[in-house]
Amino acid sequence: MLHAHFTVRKFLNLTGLFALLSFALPCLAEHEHHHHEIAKDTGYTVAAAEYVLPEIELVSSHSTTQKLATVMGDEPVMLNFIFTTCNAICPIMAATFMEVQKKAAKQGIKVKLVSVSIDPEQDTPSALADFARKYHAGANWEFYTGDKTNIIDLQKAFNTYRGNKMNHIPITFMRRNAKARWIRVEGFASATDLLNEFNKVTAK
Amino acid sequence: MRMQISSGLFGLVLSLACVAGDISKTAAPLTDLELGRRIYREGILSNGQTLTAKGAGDVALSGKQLTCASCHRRSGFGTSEGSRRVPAITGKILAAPLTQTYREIRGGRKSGEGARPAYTESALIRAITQGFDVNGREMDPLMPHFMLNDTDLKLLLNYLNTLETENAPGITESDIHYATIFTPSTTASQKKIVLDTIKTFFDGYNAETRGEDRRAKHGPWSKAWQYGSFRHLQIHSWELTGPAEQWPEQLQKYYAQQPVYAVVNGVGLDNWQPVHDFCETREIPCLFPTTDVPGKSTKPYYSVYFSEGIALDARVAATFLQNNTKTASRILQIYRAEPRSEQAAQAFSTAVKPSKGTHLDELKLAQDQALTHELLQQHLASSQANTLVLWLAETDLPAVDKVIADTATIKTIVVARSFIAADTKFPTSMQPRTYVISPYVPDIDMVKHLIRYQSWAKMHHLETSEVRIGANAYFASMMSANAVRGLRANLAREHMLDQFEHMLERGLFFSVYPNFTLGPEQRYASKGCYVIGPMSAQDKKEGRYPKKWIVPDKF
Repeated sequence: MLHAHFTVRKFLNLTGLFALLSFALPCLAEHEHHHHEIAKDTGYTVAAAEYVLPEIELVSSHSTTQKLATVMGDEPVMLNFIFTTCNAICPIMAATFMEVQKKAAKQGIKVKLVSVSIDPEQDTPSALADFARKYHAGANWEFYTGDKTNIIDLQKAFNTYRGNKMNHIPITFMRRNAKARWIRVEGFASATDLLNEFNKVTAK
Repeated sequence: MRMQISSGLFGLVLSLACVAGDISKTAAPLTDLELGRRIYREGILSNGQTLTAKGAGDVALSGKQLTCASCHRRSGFGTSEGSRRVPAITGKILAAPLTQTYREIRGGRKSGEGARPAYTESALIRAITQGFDVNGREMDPLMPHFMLNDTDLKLLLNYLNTLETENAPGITESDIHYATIFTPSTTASQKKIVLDTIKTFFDGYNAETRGEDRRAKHGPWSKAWQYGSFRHLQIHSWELTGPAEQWPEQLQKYYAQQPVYAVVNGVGLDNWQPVHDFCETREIPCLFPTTDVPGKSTKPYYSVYFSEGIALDARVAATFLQNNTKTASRILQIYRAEPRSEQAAQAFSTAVKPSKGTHLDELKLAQDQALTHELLQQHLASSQANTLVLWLAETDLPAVDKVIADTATIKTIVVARSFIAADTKFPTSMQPRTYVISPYVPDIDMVKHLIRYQSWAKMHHLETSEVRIGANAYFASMMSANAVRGLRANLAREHMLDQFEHMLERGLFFSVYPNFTLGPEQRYASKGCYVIGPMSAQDKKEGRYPKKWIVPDKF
């Protein structure tokens, strides 16, 4: 179950009105400005939440099958959902992870990046491997697909499931270790923004 | 009157002539239009280098990851993902001001989300390179800031002006013309099923919406966007004859007689390549033909298929056997010298080749050669196979039965539903070790799955004996009609294909296939097959088939 920090977020989660987020965003930003965490003028929001990971297996871009718990591990991790034929949001999200990877290496920050496809039948392991090459993914950036129903369960667990893959929205999740809460960064955060948030998460 | 973004500013011909000359010394130099299109679609600049950009604050992007067309689409009409809207950027749309719409007024939005004055050339250049719109507002971070020099900017703007043409061929004030195509191997009964199905569906569509053309003409201005695209749907039957080499000429002739907006369904079970090529070169959408051998080309765009056909069956078979490593070590595949069977065998051997420890032998039968048990026994002895893969029809099974009954060495037999009739009863000897590759919903569940189609067809007294042919035609007609309806006032063919990419996941109809998804540039809707295994005693008692859905990786 998900316990959101802010009342506004809680309201949104409870009512499942994420499809209306575009309309809600301006007022959301205004509202949360009085609180904290919301980065000024960047249009992304940050919330902490507890998600219960389903007991499922995923298939990596190297065709190996792994338990979800193993994929997420006990080390600092960032997670996003993509699909390889997505034309607007995913190229930006993937490019942002590419930049995070570069910046993290430069700054000596240890982070594992995980991208999970929400179009598992199209995104076979080799399709993901091609995508990984396109974004120069290194050893710390892993790509996963899986059984269609498992992938839906996973999206539901993170409250990102929108039925049709074309309805997805840009969200990045991060956590310090297996016991820590997840931080949900919603919107287009830049690589610098993501690393800032990540540093807060790991510093706690 | 059509406005041009940068009219009078194309003194480019001279400067481009030399640039183009540099890129391709041997081939003919690309025209301005082709250079612009290459920037837009492929992210390659006029000097042959890759387009670069900055996105979402600090992210370096290149044309390998992202082009104009990836978001704004080949059509130029944009897209939407979740709450993000990618606006239309055809020259015609950019050159006109966008005023607040009726919907926005009713929605109570003061500014009007998309309201803006017309784009001038300099405003457009600022938008593309610096990310500010014509109102001076910073655009959505989705829009990267592109690094383009003056030459390339002008080529690109020139290309945007060509994006939205007047009505596509096959569209008149009152009608949209479609063709359905039959290759010579199609039976008379199949043709009749397809034509009757499409005609009946179109008639229903045309009758049901008879008032819409009047509404478009005389309705309130606020409804124009909703009814502007309404046209009556017309279907034309194009029957191909003779050898495949003659088909292109016949297609040209049909098209010259009656240009069509798109090709809908049609049947060509054992060859579709010439139709595929025709549609790709003429840029005509070719929507869901019933074929086992879809055409191939590099990055097909205009052809949309139910599945990859028989090659998919073969790759599923290979994946299934490789996951069952215990039994898949020595395979004998048997096929016949006919196009579907040959293509299956070829795809199968390509798919199993990379795996280690698997040995593959083949037996190819002549077109009219029957499989005898002597022949099979002889090949089993020489190949020492423990697995049989049969790209054969049910008429060949008695020979297999006779051999299997005498030997315990064959542990697994794989057959394909694409070759074997629905009501086939397997010989007792085969039953405990036979797996059926089925791209369709298992026959036992088919009636339930197609209940809407069946009821509709019965209501209209249509023949339903060949369920795949009929249900596919029904599905394709419905998709074509609904896609056009969703286009509102923009009837560009590429825009219709955009619709297809989005609408499938929310569709209620799947034809004989269990599972459809499409997405941007995806052209095969069904991506896997069932492997239906032998029934255990318990399964028999409960009347169910153990089945597994397998989506093969690319080999």
